Amino acid sequence: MSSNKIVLTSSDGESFEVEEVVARKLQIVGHMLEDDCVINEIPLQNVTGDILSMVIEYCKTHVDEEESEEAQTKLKTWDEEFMKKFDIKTLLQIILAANYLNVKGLLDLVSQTIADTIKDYTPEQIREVFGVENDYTEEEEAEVRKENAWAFDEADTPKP
Amino acid sequence: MEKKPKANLVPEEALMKIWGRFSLRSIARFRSVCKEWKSMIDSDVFRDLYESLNSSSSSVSWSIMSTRNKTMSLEIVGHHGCERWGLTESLGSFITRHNPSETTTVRKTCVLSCTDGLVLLYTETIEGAPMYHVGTPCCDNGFRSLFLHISLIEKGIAVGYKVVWTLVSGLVSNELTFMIYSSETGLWITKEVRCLRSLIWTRLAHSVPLNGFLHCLATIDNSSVDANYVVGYDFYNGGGDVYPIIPFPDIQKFQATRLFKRTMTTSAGFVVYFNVYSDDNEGERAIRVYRLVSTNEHPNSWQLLWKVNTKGGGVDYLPVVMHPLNSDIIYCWSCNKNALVLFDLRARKHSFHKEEKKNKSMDGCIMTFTGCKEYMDLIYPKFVNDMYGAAHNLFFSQYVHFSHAG
Repeated sequence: MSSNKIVLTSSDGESFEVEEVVARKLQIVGHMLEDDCVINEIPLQNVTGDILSMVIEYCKTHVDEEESEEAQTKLKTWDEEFMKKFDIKTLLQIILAANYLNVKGLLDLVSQTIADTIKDYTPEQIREVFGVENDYTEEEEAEVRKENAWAFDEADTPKP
Repeated sequence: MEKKPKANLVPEEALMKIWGRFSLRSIARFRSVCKEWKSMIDSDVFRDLYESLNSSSSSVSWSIMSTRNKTMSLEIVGHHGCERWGLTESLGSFITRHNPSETTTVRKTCVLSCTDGLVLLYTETIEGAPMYHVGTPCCDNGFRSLFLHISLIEKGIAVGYKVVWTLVSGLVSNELTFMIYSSETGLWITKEVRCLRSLIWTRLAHSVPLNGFLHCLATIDNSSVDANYVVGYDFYNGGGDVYPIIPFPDIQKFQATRLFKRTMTTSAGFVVYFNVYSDDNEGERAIRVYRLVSTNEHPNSWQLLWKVNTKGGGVDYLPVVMHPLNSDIIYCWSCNKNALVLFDLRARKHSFHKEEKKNKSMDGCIMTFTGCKEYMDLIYPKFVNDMYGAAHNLFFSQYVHFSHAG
């Protein structure tokens, strides 16, 4: 395997020197390398340095995907611990980055973590976290809620 | 549609990736976040993604409903509360709580038929007036007022249904008359269909509807065996005037020995037939599972899925149902142990689930039993005497993937 180094630069100008195998985990980089193999510095405009450093940390850890059960369990534990570090806002930043950089494993991991975090949120909380505006009229919202009343039972009934 | 550069922080693609991991309950709740979310959640793109992410999941809410005895509980066994398809209550409780009439009290509710996530309910008001309703109990506003026997499924959502009332002029006849109600036209029509030979129609009540077909049970008149043929009629793609008849597999052996206990059920989009065979003389005890792959008269209509020897156990087992999505799993009732036996045929494992205990199924669902023993005690003599027990009705929640043929 080549130990060629590649420099990734974030939108806010931070640079990270990583091995090519690590950089290739970012499929967007992989594609660029295939197009022209002399590149050794790649600007990534949609990611800030703090988020990119986390993505790189993930890629470094996942660079050798070993088949053995033991290695898999170890990685899984690492993934869990890794995800625990972030709040929901950061997780959303990471999913944007993972989506843009096309890091499949990370995208799956973050999707699952976000889903687990917000699954019991109320629609109001969701709107706040995702920065979504409620464009229903009162009647429309009541109607949609009625259609899915079964999904609200618990959330709407305050626990004594 | 024009895309507004709105402050939707997360792009659609990534959003759907997150939603794909939600339970149905969360998805249903988040339809009310905003119009854009609702339209994305309701889109075919998302539905396909959800199915592809979750098709291997066997944790779906489903129930075994009683259609035999109107005085017993509706739901004999219910599964709910699993992680992904997380209904908070069993499906039966949605039905029981439902009162289709806003003005009168209901004194009796029973399930006449279930298929593809729809239920045909019969209710009787306190004054004795009968009412029939069709619906999905949990995710709908309620039951639409009419009845069903057959539904057509596209992408896991019922897009239409037909209710079929089957009439025969005599117990032995080569003609059947269907009265068919269609949800598309809102009209009843009558259709007469012939078979190539006369059949005994004593088991019409156990017909199994699936994917637009109605699978009726019948007996060839010169045999002493109950229900040895299936007649499958296609109500959607012009079934024609002649009704094909399909013999059950290993019917000769069955007729010779009569040591079978049988059931017909549905799973993963197929009609499934399975039997428990126990011959004390030869010592052979086996469970054989077949699925119906063709509704034409042809020797390979039934495909053998499993043959598992049960060795010492299994003598007293009544076949009940196959898991609605997982063709590796069947359920039997053990009369000796008074327990539902879950067989994982692939893993060759089984577990007993007793009514009086708190039960968790292997996928983490909560299993609830209501009058299961009472029900099984009631049908056991029928297995012994008539050889044919029951087509137990399965009901499971919508959004389930069906491999719908045509």
